[in-house]
Amino acid sequence: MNIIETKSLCKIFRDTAQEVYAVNNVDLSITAGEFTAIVGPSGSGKTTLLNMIGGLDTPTSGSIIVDGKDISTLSENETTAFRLHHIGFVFQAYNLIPVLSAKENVSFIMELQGRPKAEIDSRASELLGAVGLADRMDSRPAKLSGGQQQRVAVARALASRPRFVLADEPTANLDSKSAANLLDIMVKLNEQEGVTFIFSTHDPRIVAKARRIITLEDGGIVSDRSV
Amino acid sequence: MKLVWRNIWRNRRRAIITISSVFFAVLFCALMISFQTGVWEKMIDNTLRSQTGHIQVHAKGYWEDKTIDNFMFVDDASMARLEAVDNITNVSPRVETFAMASHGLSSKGIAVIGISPGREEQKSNLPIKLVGGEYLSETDDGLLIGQGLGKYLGVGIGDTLALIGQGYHGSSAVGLFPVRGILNLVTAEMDNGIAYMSLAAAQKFIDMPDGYSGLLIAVADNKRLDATIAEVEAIVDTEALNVYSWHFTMERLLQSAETDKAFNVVIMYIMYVIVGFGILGTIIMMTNERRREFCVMISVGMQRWRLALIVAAELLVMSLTGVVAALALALPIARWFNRHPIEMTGEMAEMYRQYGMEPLMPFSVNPGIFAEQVVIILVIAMLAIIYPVNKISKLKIVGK
Ligand SMILES: Nc1ncnc2c1ncn2[C@@H]1O[C@H](COP(=O)(O)OP(=O)(O)O)[C@@H](O)[C@H]1O
Ligand SMILES: [Mg+2]
Repeated sequence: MNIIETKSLCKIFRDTAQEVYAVNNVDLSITAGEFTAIVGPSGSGKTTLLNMIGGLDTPTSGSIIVDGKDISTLSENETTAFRLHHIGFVFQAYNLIPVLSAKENVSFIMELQGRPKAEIDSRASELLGAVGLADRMDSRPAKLSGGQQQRVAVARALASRPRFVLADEPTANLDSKSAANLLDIMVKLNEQEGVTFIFSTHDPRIVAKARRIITLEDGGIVSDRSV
Repeated sequence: MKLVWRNIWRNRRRAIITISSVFFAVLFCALMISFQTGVWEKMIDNTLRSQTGHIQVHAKGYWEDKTIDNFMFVDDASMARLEAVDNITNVSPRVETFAMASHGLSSKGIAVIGISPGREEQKSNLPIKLVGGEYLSETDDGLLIGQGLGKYLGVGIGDTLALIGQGYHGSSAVGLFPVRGILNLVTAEMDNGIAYMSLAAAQKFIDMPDGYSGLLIAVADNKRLDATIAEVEAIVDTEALNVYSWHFTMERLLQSAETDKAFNVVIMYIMYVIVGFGILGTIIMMTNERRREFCVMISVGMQRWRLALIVAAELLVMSLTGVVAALALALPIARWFNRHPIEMTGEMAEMYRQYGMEPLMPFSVNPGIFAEQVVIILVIAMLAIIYPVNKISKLKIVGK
């Protein structure tokens, strides 16, 4: 079953002088359990596409159906609630709330969801264990390395039990060793827990770990292959 | 929510600056207003207690024209009942009229005030102002005059002064009165233009044996004034008489108090405007520094209003901490100086004593003064909150 389906999705940015087709007529289906990379050169529309799928940005035309629901028709507050309950996010950097510890950052999402305290506590510990940070649970983000911060961000993205996780260039600010480590964790979570990941990158070593690779160029899909 | 505390704690230096600016402004303003209000309250209370009374009783129409034909009558039984009222400390009947005073070839228009010497002594400590001669007895037929008046007319103790004035119902009032004593009255106006005589002598002078211009009633506790006025109204004949509170009779004094206070109120508002801009500056910096963090929070699913609530709570907690700390210090200080007022020294103190007043400058513990500071700070905080709340509601979460 498709958890994400876009139809003739377009995003046009209008400057004073010109129109930029950041995303141009994209038809895309994603099924549960995928581990998909969106690749393409800088400016090819990866971020814009992920933002629209994540309900952070609205399309100029076309539709995005997530879990059978057209999210472009939702109000601002409904979209925010939809993100909270259905989608996990990992951004390129500055993901975490600086005043909260690693564990509190992970718990934060579940508190917003209004989960019971005991569940929040055990799940936050479990997820941080899964990303290999059992011993850094009480550290503030500033005390963690970039790679560790991104692992906390992955744990946080999973905390809400989302249908899928969107990660926009999650390794862009990491050295290659941390990047590989982060990807290994994502692969493991995908294989063992069945978490759906959609991430963008232009790092070929990261791309190699993906099982489906969608290539964008000038906002359009130029290739879509599974490996 | 713990985010509020963490965020305040994160920028401790800034939080301390915000809290302490609120703290010092509230402390300063509360004490300044408390002191000034206290001095005025004491001043008004002094004046009422020693001069005009908190409550005045006059015949209907007297207040408007102050003529003898609108003098009042009151029986001894009612007087006794008034004096027995719990909150009433002094009931001074008065006969106030005007007369032409002459001695030899000089003459001058003066105020003639018939007093009960005993009650007046208790109320305003009149005998202390004697610089020569003796105080009056209850049925005395003599006069006490101001020093200035004596000099002007060339009369001394033992000399006789002729008074010509208006009596009851258009009769003319004429009398010869020996000068018993010379008073040093504090204002030139009074010193040059007043003669006191006993009530009996004054009533005889105007040919109105039981008439009074009015009753001046002093109370112990001004807070119970309304209840006391009701009691007075129940005793006196309200068909013929009006009972006035000092809020009515002393309107001018109250107005000058307000004018005097207005200046400090302006200073207070200037202080708060400065504090307000300080807070606003801090909050603008804070909002801009945390933009990215706000974006992430909204992106992962926090509703904007919830985020705005956190930021508002942060500011509110800081402002209230400042206010509470300031009041925790200001209230005991005000209470201490309310119970142990600052004592005036030198000439000022002497002048106060001459008036029969206590030369004290207390602080006011009127809760309104302190509540006002809290309200002002809350209003400032509310206004300052508009900025981040507005920013958060318009924040674009993409394209960062
Ligand atoms: N907010 C924006 N306003 C105008 N143009 C934008 C905006 N965001 C992205 N673009 C343009 O859209 C195109 C796609 O950008 P983006 O999705 O960020 O690409 P990628 O993430 O692949 O680098 C680029 O040409 C970029 O300049
Ligand atoms: Mg991008």
